[in-house]
Amino acid sequence: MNGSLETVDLAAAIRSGGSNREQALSSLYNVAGLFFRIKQMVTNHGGNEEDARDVFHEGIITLDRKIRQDEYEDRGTIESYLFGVCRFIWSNQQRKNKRVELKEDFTPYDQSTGENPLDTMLNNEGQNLVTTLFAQLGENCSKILSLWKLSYSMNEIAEEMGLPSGDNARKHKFRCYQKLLGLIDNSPELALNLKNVGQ
Amino acid sequence: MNTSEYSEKLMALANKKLFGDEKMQLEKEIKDNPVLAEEFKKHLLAQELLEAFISQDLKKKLNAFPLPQEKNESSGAVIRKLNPSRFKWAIAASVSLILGVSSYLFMENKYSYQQLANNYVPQMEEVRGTNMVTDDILEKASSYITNNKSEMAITLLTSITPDDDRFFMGQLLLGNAYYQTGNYSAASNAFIQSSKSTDDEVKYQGQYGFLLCELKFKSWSDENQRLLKELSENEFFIYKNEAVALSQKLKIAKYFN
Repeated sequence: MNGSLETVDLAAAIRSGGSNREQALSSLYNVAGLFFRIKQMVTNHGGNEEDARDVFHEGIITLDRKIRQDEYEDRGTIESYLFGVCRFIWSNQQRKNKRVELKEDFTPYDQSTGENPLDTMLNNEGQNLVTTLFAQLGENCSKILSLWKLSYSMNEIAEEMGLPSGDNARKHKFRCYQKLLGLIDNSPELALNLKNVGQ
Repeated sequence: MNTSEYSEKLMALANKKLFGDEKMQLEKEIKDNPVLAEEFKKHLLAQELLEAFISQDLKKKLNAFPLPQEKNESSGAVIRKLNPSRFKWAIAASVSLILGVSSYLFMENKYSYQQLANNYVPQMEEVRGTNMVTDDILEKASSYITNNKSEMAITLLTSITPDDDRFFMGQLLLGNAYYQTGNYSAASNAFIQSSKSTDDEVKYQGQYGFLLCELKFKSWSDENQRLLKELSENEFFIYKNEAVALSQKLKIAKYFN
């Protein structure tokens, strides 16, 4: 783990993508006392260490995504923000558990929580679907597209994938993306969710 | 544009990497062309799927990491270990004093301390316990507070005596109940009592509740400011972020009081 990045630079490093992001996430993961605080929050509210670990990981994943999608505002420290995200994740989880236990009426969409059907699909039931889809896409295409999505430059992708040049990587990326669109076309489950996208 | 160029542009737009005139032009075309709009939805879904794949991948990597080393336990944590059921109560029945002051930045004449305090909405979290007598009281009381039946909560909570090991927790709830009824003087006393708890969670929340009452009294002092600063810098205070936000708003509020 590299601890050379200052905390204040973490968000910028994650936002810039590529290897900076990986280094920043590793540093964030090991910020002194951060996991301890989150563990304390979870165990204080009915969870155990395993729950805390899951919440911590989910929190980092959410933070990573929010920063990359420009939904993160630089107010306060990134650790405080992550702590807040983890607190939200855990209270949400507890609410869901309670709802299942009580077998109350299922509310499909609550705008106040910011959940939408696509999120639900991707976060819960759709995990297997995503795994299957990217297995069909193939390891190389999955990797090229995820590197592209993570803002690696075409030259970096070429280097990572053992391709001769950035231009060559760009062609591969385009083909892989078209393949992904084709798989979406041929997946009835995903077609159903298309109706909700962008609304 | 040919199909390939369109696809590249749609891909860039869905990936939020298209800017300026090109972005505006394509957005207009999508709006006017239902076929293009359907195609764009597919691109948006592709981006979501890529995000989901990246999240799965990151999750695998994180699971392979060893958990970070813990730093030394706080004194509060040690106390909790010595008395786990009390610890469980202190947290399970914790009172959330949620701050929502952001709207104040843009509202005129709303910087009075009382108005700032009005933005705190006391909320109750789920409560559970193991001590059947006092825990039942606390559970019922918290339920009453949640349902705006604070008077009934007050009746129950005042029956908890100082020799009960849930006394400080009870005082925290009592402060919350009085606060809800608008009896800030009684609320302040109860919060002061709860802030004497050896349980850090109860203590900090009691201090925070006390500060809210002080705002209601318009008696904000340097000492209060110091206490708020301490809370806003306290990594173990569960509402640290709210304390930070309040502290910032008070910097502005002082010019209006």
